[in-house]
Amino acid sequence: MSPRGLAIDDKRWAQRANALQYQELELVRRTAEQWRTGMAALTALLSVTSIIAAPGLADRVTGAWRTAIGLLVLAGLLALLFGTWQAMRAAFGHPDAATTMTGERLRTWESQQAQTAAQALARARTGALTGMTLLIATAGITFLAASSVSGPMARVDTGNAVYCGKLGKGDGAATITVSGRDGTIRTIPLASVRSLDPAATC
Amino acid sequence: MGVADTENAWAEVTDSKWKPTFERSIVGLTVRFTGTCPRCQHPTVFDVPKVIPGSGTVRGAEEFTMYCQCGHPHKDHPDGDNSCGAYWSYEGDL
Repeated sequence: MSPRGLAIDDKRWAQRANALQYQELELVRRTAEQWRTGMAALTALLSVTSIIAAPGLADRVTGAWRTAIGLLVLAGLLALLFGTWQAMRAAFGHPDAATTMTGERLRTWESQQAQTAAQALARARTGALTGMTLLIATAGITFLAASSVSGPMARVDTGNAVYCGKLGKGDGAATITVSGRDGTIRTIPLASVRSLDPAATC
Repeated sequence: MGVADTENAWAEVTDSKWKPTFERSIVGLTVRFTGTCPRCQHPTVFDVPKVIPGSGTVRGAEEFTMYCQCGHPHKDHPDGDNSCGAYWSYEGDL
């Protein structure tokens, strides 16, 4: 035995570690429950993509904008997932494999956990802020990109009304469609078109 | 080894000269050390529980603190602590 100087707090830590055997099941269940809650939070984050990937909005973005927005959403989502994961680490610790717990190990473990948790909390904050910023920026860019969709824009006068938007081929014979900025699509028979003028903006 | 002494008053004391030997066994989720308290000479058992979350696996012998759990009501013992109160350092496999 090495001549290690013992103090009364060594006994206290040993008593604490020894008492853990009476709460084993409770500890395991509590850890599992906390991680289940955390996993549910991570899953819920996936719904964030639905804001950007909403059909009405995403369909109006094409080309390089579409790729850029997709990458931004991915980066934002990953940052949020990282932030949530780090917050879970700070709150619950890592669900490690079971090990024999002496007073000395418990003391070291608690000290390490306190440091790790503080670091994880800082990373969680960074991840959450980065993720939210990226997603907000993506939403803004999506809106702008959707508004400036390139394509044959035209002003169509039917005599009764004037429609401005992106031109398309209608489903019926001799019809055209005009997709407005608000997403409404109007089908107009060619016969009723009095004038059709190219438009830079609507 | 001396004779077991229940009259040895309860006290939380240690002595670096104490070099007890214990027998190691696995009982369920605990590592059990069975031997004799170096102070009161009563048979005692010390359990090191396996718990989650753990602190990682350490291979080889390791030094850790044990304390008397002899079960004898020594004089002046506090409620719920039937031992002589002694504690010591022990090196063994966990």
